[in-house]
Amino acid sequence: MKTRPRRHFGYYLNIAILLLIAILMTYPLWYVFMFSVSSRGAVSSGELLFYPKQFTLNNLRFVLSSPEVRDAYYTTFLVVVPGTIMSLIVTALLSYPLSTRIPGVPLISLLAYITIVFHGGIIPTFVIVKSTGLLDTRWSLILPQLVNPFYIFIMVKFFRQIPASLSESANMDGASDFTIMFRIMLPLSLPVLATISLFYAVRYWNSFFDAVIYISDPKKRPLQVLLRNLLIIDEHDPVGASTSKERAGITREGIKMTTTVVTVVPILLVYPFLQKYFVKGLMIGAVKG
Amino acid sequence: MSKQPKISEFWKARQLYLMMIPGLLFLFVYRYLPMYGVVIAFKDFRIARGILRSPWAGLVNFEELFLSPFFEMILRNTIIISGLKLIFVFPVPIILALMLNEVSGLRLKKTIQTVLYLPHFLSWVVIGNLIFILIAPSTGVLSNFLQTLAGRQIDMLIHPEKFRILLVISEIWKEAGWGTIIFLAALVGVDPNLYEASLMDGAKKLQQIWYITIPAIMPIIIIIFILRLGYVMDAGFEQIFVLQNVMVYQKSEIIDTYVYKAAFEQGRYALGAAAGLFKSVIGMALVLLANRLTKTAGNEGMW
Repeated sequence: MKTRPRRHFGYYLNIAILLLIAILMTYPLWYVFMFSVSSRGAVSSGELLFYPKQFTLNNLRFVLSSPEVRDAYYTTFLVVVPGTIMSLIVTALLSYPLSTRIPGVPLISLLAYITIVFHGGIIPTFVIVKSTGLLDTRWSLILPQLVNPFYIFIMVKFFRQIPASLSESANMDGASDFTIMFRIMLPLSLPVLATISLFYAVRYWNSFFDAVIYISDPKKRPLQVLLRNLLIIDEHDPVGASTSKERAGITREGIKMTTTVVTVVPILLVYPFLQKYFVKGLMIGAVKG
Repeated sequence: MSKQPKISEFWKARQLYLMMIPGLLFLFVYRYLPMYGVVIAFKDFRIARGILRSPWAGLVNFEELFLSPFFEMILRNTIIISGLKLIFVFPVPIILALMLNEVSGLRLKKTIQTVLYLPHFLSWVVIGNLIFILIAPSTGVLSNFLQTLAGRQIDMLIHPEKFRILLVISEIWKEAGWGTIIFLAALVGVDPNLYEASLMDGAKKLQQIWYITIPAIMPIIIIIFILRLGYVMDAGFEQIFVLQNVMVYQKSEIIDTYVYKAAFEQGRYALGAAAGLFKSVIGMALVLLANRLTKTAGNEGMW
């Protein structure tokens, strides 16, 4: 029989410190949100601390109606949605055979996993992307990162946990390998598929360096690159906010922070789902024995 | 393999081989061809001519790299920044995991974890923006706070030494929570009987942590530490790429940012590739060595 442990001052101190850390983790995001919905005067006098001051939606209206932001959102969605679907399918199609005992599995696994550690580096990769004709296309943001071999590793481990008797008996009944894969293995693997697709989605959503080197057409820049450009342009050119913007009470900082908000919000929306699955899904791959 | 597989075995599994084709095609084109592409470092490479038609140049690119005044700087910065992160970032998730492990309310624990993991899913571009606004001189809430503490304005973004501190702090903010996962998993495996026995002996909480918990997770701490050591050449490219500016260039230019600038700002692809290859070779040697070390320490290693 277990007794309830006595709780000391230290126990509550520990929780208090953890809560403080949790606040430090969220406060920057809250601050940016406050910044984007507060009026210009309140922001520039440094008054913002805990809640928005002189609430306004001018920044948000301006940012959401800007054609640059719309183009960037469009590109990002055109990368995230097809990219995630393709990545998931190709990863699953490669992982399932690697979880079986057909000839060649050890060699192919080795060839796949080696690429976790060994890679050509950015310049050789850039040259290959260029010579496959992807430069300045949205495909350049998908194909070169299509499969993360680490996720193959996780999926293979998961497939191997599914009792072999299931696929064997289906096999006796005359089911083809494709049928077994799509009718038995995948439906049994939903948690791991959810985890991995969310990881892929976040990765595509957040990727920006690929776009920096592969995309030069401003209309095809994803959200993250737009956000980064706002950051840099400000650095080199501190003046330049147009007068019409000034009149509407909109500052460059306000635009930057509001763009940050619209870049982060989708992540915050999928995050609860992500959180629900990822620890479970990751643990299957990470913890041995 | 002891026996040769028969043709019929391949035929029977033909659908499985078919499934692998897209993935293998990807690996070949975008993972293995770039590995061949490192020969750029040994060529007089012109982007218009491509890899095959550029003439060989021997070690000219490496000579230029090693003799360049930048080489020592970027190597030093890479190692210093990595070292700082290893010393100051590495212990944080362990401490956080130990603290979380002591929280007994399951919902409270889950909630705190959810919040701590969140920054991991934000891009460095977003975090860059958060930092810029928080420490903006005279309006940023963090810069005002620092000013009250120090009595003067401190702009970490343009002060070379403080910029490195900023790199360490922002890395902790982004990754410390996420880093707890592996240690929390290890903590689950600690034998609860040990705690009960120590309770009988009158051990205090801190003594339990010091004499039971930490020794129990020491193997995993050592593995993770050694693996990190293997990645010393990766000082955090995207982070520095986003936050860096001219004022802090001398103290923050690392090999990866140098590779980027050489290739994409100056068009010197071969020189950049040489620097990249130098980094990769050292990095791979370190990773292999690290893996060997974890194995000799009696652990499984990565492969």
